[in-house]
Amino acid sequence: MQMEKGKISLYQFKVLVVLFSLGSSILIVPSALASVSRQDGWISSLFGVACGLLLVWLYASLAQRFPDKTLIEFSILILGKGLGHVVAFLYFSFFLLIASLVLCTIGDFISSMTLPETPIEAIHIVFMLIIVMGIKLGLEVVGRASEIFIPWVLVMLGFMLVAVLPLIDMSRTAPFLENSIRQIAGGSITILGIPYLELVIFLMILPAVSNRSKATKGFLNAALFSGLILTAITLLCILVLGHDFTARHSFPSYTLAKQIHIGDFFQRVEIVMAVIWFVTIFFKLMISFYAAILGFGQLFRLKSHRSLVTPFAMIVFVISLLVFPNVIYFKDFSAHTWPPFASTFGLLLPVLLAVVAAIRKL
Amino acid sequence: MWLVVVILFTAVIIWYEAPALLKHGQFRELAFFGILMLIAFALTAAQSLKVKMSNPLDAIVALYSPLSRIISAFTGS
Amino acid sequence: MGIFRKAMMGVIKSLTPQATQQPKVSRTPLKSSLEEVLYEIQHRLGHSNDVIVRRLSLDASSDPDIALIYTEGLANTKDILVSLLVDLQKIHPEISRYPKDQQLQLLKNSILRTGDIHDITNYESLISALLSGDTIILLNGCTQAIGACTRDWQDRGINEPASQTVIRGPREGFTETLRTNTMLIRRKIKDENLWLETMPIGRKTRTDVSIMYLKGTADEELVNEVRSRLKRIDMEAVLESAYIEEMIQDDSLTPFPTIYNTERPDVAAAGLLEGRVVILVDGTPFVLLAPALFTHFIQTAEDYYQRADISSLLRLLRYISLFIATLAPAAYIAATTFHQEMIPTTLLIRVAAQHEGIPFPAFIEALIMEIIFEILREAGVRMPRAIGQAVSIVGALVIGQAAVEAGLVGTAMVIIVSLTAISNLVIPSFNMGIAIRMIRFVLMALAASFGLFGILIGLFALTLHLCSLRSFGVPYMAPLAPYIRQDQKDNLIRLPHWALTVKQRLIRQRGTVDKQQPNEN
Repeated sequence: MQMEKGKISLYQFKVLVVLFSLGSSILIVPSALASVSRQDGWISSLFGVACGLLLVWLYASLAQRFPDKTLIEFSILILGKGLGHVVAFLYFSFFLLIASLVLCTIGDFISSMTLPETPIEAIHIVFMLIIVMGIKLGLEVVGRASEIFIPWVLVMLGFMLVAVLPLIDMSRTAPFLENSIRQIAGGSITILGIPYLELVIFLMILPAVSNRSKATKGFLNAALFSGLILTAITLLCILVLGHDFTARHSFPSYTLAKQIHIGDFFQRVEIVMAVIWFVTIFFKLMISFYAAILGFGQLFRLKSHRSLVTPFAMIVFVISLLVFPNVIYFKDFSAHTWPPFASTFGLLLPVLLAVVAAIRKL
Repeated sequence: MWLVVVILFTAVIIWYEAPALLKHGQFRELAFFGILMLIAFALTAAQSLKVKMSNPLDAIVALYSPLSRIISAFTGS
Repeated sequence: MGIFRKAMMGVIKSLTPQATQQPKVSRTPLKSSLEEVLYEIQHRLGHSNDVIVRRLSLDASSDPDIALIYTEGLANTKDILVSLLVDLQKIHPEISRYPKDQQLQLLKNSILRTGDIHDITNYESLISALLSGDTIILLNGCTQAIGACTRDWQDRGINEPASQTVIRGPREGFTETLRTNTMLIRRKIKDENLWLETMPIGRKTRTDVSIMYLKGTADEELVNEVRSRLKRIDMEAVLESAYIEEMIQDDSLTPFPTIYNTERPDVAAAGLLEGRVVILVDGTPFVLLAPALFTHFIQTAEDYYQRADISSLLRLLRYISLFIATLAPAAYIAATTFHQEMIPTTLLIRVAAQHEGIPFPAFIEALIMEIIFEILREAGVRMPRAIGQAVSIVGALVIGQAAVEAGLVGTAMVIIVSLTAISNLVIPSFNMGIAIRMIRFVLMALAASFGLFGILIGLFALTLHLCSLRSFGVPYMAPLAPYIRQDQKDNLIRLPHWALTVKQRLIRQRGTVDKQQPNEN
């Protein structure tokens, strides 16, 4: 049963995919890539993007069998009442966890970089208020809002990338391909973890896309586009800051932006980077939270999901405060635990679902 | 002190959401709303009283530790 | 948001008295005796002495058996005296040969020389016609009457519109008379598909409200929607189009206007050609256009009368002004309170130096200046011309300059506030300007609490809110969101007229893009 009555256009869907993929990835990925593959981090990134596209293709083809059903709905359909519900519940928790992790990422960033004196709880609460507002207004509104923000994000990104070009030092990518294939492949695991394995979330949103037939191609295009942006950022981080520095820093893309000096006036341009992060994470949080709530509603066959929004917002708020004891824990978690955890949901389960669906000829 | 805020906040939310659900006869949704609000309230209240709650990630880390070790070995990081 | 809206609705409901019963529409038929009818009419009107009754008799001997009634001031007395009376006096003896009931019809069909003549069978429509300026002709022994249209009254005359002036373009503006306004629009569009419907709205005022639309260009559903919303209005009085505007606009709690109003016939005609519906209200020169989207409020008529390149640049300038008007004080507060490192050092030293002696935090300072400016602005609107000079001097020199010198506010703040106020005036539509003023204060508060983060949060909330609005079913932020490629030619920039001839899709195919989903939750 379709709970979401709103429809989003293909363009809006692609924008949401791009914003989601850039979400926390811009913050975390360059550092993780550089720490594993050092100066070849950008190659890892490309490799990861390629694998990620395969994943996206997997999701899209799975979804094509059930064009008007979300992930939760067809999991139950494919695996039957018992197992299906369990899997659906696991997915729901996965989405909820993503939302909490995203919230604490932005909370940490804001607090450490711009508003050190404000208590983190306040930042989280204010953010969640806006999220609640957005979800209550519906997916259509969120789609339209994304259309308004994307030009700004792209322009600001473009500006950053271009402005940083004079500072690059090509020697920093040398020695080229010094690292073993193993390391390069290992590095790509991080970019798979965030965002590609998480893109399975869009299987909750695909049924709402009005131009469903072109959605697969759009999904792939958008994933490719964001992957290239992430690669470019990683590459620039390595070229400008050096792989060592990139690996050690918490938020290298921010430091990258700090390097921009245009004349004497444009000095504190990293604010632009912060704004880009803000907007992308905002949408990532919006989408993951929405997916979680929609999933819960569909799992328990509720008629409308609006009443669930506020309690879940509170729950996410609390979880987000619990999951972030300190930065080191978080970095370690994202690099080592998250990829296998996410692949359960992003690789294992979808493959399982696809296989069972094929067997049962659904 | 924050506990009072949490209680007030919860009350406001219930006051706002519940009547709409009742009006539409969505009792199932109301039930879920109630349960979830209870959980949410418990969690937020505990948080406001600074009760030490365990990190759910710890469970995940523990569960996936064998795999994580493999990855670390693989990537040598 | 939700809770706020609920509270507001609760307050509004408790303040409005119970809706009055729909008055029964009674139709009291006319009596046949002339004197009785005349007495009844005058009795109902309380013997108001601007209602003139003129009796005529067939021949010199008998009692009067024709009467003319008209309202002085509303009816053209010259018409009445010159044509009606004369006709009646001359012809009357001849038709008296015919039976009574035919006489009236004969008068109507063959003899009287006014334009619009209609039958009247009951007191209610008689009085309604009488009070609109028609002349009523009554015949003794007949239970019908006829009303001849002799409407004519003093009017302001067609002047340049006071509110939306242009450098190049027509200088006609609508007036308070409905018929003049429809004439002005008809002169712009001579198409046979320009259709007009009129209905009286308002129990006491019985104001004539017309809608005009281009059949075939305007979406059928839109026209039906407008019509049904107008029919639903149950008000006592309609004195201005704003009354109508508030009653028919989409039911959303928002400061942003969703219906456009204009004093210019060319703007109204342009809207009609786009497929919009024009609502004219008798008694006001401000005409409504529905639907209205966000971009419409930033566009002006002059965009089409100047060259494409300069118009595009001016439009972009207006958007920039929009941003300045909304964000400038907030950005200043955020920068000086939280993010001092954002400001280049040389500028920072100056700003900091100014801030040294000032007792208030940046937010209070900004608030004070803004409020003072709003007061000055309101005073400026209402002041008689004689003291205009004095008030400007007081405002600029005394308050502004002196406040700075007294150290109450910083010069930078005065500059920011003035720049903001002027940018606000660049916004062509007054309603939108008001909305922006309100938003600005909210953003200032957010900036004062959370800095740049607060501003971004505010912008998110604002964007979400704007994206959720609809104007008669059309998404408010279209054609930006949802992005409609065809309509971009006349959105942020204006392409030259030869490129604009391919029809724009948006309003005409209102239903295709985003059919309004009933919100079931």
